[in-house]
Amino acid sequence: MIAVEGVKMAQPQWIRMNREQAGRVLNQLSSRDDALVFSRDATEVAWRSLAFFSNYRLCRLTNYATMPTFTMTYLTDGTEYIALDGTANPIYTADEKDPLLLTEENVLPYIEFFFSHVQGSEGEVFLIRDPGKMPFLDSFTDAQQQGVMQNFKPVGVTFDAHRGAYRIEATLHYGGVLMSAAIIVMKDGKISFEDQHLLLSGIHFPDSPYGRNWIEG
Amino acid sequence: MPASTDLNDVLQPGQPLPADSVMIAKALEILSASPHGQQLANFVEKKNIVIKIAGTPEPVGYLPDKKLVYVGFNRNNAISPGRFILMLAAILREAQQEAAGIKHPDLRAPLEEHKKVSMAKHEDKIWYICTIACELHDQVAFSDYKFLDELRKMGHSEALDLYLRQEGKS
Amino acid sequence: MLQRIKGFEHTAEARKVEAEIENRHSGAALFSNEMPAPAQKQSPAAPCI
Repeated sequence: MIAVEGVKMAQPQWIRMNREQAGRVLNQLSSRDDALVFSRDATEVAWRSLAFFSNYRLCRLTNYATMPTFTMTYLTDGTEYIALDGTANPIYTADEKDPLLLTEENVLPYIEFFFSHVQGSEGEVFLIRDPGKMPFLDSFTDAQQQGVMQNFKPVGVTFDAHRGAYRIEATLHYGGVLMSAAIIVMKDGKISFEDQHLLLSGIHFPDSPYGRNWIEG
Repeated sequence: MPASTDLNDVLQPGQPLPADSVMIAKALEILSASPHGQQLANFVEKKNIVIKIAGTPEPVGYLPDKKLVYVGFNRNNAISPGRFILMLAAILREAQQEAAGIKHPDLRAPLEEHKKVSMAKHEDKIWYICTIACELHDQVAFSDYKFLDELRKMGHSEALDLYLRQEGKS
Repeated sequence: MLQRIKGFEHTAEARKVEAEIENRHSGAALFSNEMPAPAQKQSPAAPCI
C-alpha cells in the first residue's frame, strides 16, 4: 500500500496555442452540430497532457469576448473533441477510446482529474490529501478545524488483483460533510464508492475548491 | 450516511429533464407574466434571438453572439426551474444591452474603462432580474418557484436587499 | 438605459465582479499578444463555431 501524504504531483502546465493552431481547433469544433459558439478573434485555446492517457489530452477554450469569460474544456485526441460537461459520461467515453494507463502513481491524479470535472447533486467532490492545506480551512471555526484534523484519514492506494481494480482509501468533502470512503477505480476508469462513513457535518466550502466561483446572472 | 451525500450519486449519467424546447418555451411563458419579463420575451420574438441550453460544468449564461444566448448547467446537478428562468432573464437582458449598443469595451481598452462599463452592465442585469423576481413573486401562481429565495441562492442576496430598500419594498 | 441599485458598489458581489473584470483584463492582455490590431469591438465577436 502506498501512503500518500500532503504531496501533490505537479500538474502539467497549460500550453497556449498560437493563432494558427487555435484556428485549426476552432475549425474542427465548428463542424459539430452541438458545438458551442466561440469568438474566433477573442478565444484562447490551450492544452495540457494527462499522465493516464496516451492519445487524449485536455483542450481548453476561453472566450474573452464575454464578461465573465466563458470557458469549456474538452478531451481530445486531435480529431475528436469530447466536451467535459460536469457529468462522468465524457470521461468514460474517452476512457473507452483511449484505454487508460493507470498505475499506483497516477491513479490519484486520475481521481482528482475526475472529481475536478464531475459533480453530483450536492456539488463538487474534493479529495483531501493534507488537512492542513484544505481549501477554506481558515473560514471554519476552531472546533471545526480541530474536527477536520482529528477525523482526517490519510490517503492510501492499493491494487486489488482479484478485482483488477485500484482501491483508494481517502477523506473526501462532499455536500457539506467530511467523509471517509474507499474509491474503487476499475482498469477501464469506471469509479465507484464503498465503505462511506460520515466523519463531520456542517463543513461548507464558501466557494468552489477548484476555483470556479463566478456567480451567474 | 444521508442519501443526499451518497457519493455514488456523482456517477449518475444525468438527471432526466424535459426537452430543451419545452424548458425554454415554459420559461418564456412565465417571464411573460411579469411586465419586465414580457419586454424580454418581446425582444426574443422581435429580434429572432435563438436560445439554447448547453451542458456545462457550472450554471452559466453565455452570449457569444448578439442573437444567440445559452443557458448552461450541469445535468447531474440540475438547476431549479426558478433559477433557470432568472438565468435566462439575465442573459437576455445582456443581449438587450448589446442590441442597444451597450457593449463591453475593446479588450485592449484600459482596465478602468472595463470596470466602469462592465460593472454597470452587471448591476443593470441584477436590477432587472430583481425586478422580474419581485413581479413574479407577487403572483400567487408562481409562489412555488420561490424567485426571491432563488436570487439569494444565486449569490445576489445583498443586491436584492439593496434593491428592495431602493424600491420601497422591504 | 442602464438601471442602478444604490449601494451595489459596496457589496461582496461587486468586489467579485471587479475581481473577474481584472482577471479577464489581465488574461486578455496575455492572449492579445497574438491578437490582430483592434479594429472592431470585441463584444460580442463574430461566431466561428
